[in-house]
Amino acid sequence: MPDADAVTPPRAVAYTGPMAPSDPDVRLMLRYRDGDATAFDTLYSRHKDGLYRYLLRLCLDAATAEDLFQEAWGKLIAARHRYRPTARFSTYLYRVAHNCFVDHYRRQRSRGREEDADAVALTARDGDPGRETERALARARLEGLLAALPPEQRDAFLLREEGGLSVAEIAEATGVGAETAKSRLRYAYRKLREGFAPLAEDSGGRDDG
Amino acid sequence: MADTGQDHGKDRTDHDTAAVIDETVSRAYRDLARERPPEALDERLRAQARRASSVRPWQRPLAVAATLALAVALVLQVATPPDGERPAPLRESVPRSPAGDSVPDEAALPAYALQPDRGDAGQAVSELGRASRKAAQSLAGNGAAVASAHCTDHVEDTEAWLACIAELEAAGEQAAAERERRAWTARHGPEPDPAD
Repeated sequence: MPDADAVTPPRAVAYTGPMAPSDPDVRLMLRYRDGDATAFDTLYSRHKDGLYRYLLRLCLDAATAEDLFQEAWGKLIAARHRYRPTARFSTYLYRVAHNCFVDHYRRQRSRGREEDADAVALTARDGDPGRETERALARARLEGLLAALPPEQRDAFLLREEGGLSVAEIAEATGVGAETAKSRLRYAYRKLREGFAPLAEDSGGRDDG
Repeated sequence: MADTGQDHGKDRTDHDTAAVIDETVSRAYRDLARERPPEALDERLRAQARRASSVRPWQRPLAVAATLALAVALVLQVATPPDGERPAPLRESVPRSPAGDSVPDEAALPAYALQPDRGDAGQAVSELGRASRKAAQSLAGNGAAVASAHCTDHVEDTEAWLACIAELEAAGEQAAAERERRAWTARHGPEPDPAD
């Protein structure tokens, strides 16, 4: 059940081009930059859930996701004086979060403690289905499929689904070309679709039988 | 999923996106992905944002003044030798010993002459230093001074230094954060945009 301040998330907001004057989030961020703390509350409410899930599924670890979530918002707060609306706010926010994740990933790699995505995926798939509800089973299946995606494809998928970013915006947020972003997104949807298909058949069989 | 009130539901300017997304997968994902950040984390970030925005433009000169006062205090502290380092000079008013020795008998000296003396100039500098330090502490806060010392541990690590500055800012130590930020800029150039 949504809480009182859970303002409608910004999914599927149309990209309106550079400066994006019609983006309400840009206006909120400009108000916050100029000292209006209530504008941040609204902005935060609109984006917190999506950004949290983005990091959660990117990291595959709740504690790390919380750390990066805090780091991303902290950077946004600290850099508010330098904020200039050159793109949609969500592109800016997810780019900051993406950078936080990349930095974290590099730190982990340099320490030799690289996350084992495969292990996480197996954990998600090897839950005890007999005691799960159908919904929980579907969630576990989804988690497994997502975790099994290559990180770049998972990133593109989550930027689309949680941030509502377009292909062009995903390219901008991740620092790659539009064709690369498009390709990653296409593969991610295709693999997930293929993974969902057996589940849908199973569900159909149960419903019919 | 509902939209934000604009003309949504499709990406009019980005047909590429519409061409690659799979609505079945999207619906399934949205139906299942409902996690939210912990409320405690929400509160922490909202409070951090409020504290950061509580710094008004008129407070900046105050922060600069605090920084200057702190800098003066530090310079004076370095310039002033510690107590007892220099020998006490003889005073003309102190009676000389009958034998005419240049070193007076301690019993014949007044109490103040037996205290380690830094001379008038040294005493004045010391007093000024104490006053400056007091002023700086009242303006910048003791916490800022402590945290600032902590930040200097990270001068070689740009990211850690910036993180320390963010911690100062989050802790409401705006003057110290401002000072550190200037020091950072002086050493590393303009601060990078987090989105870069």
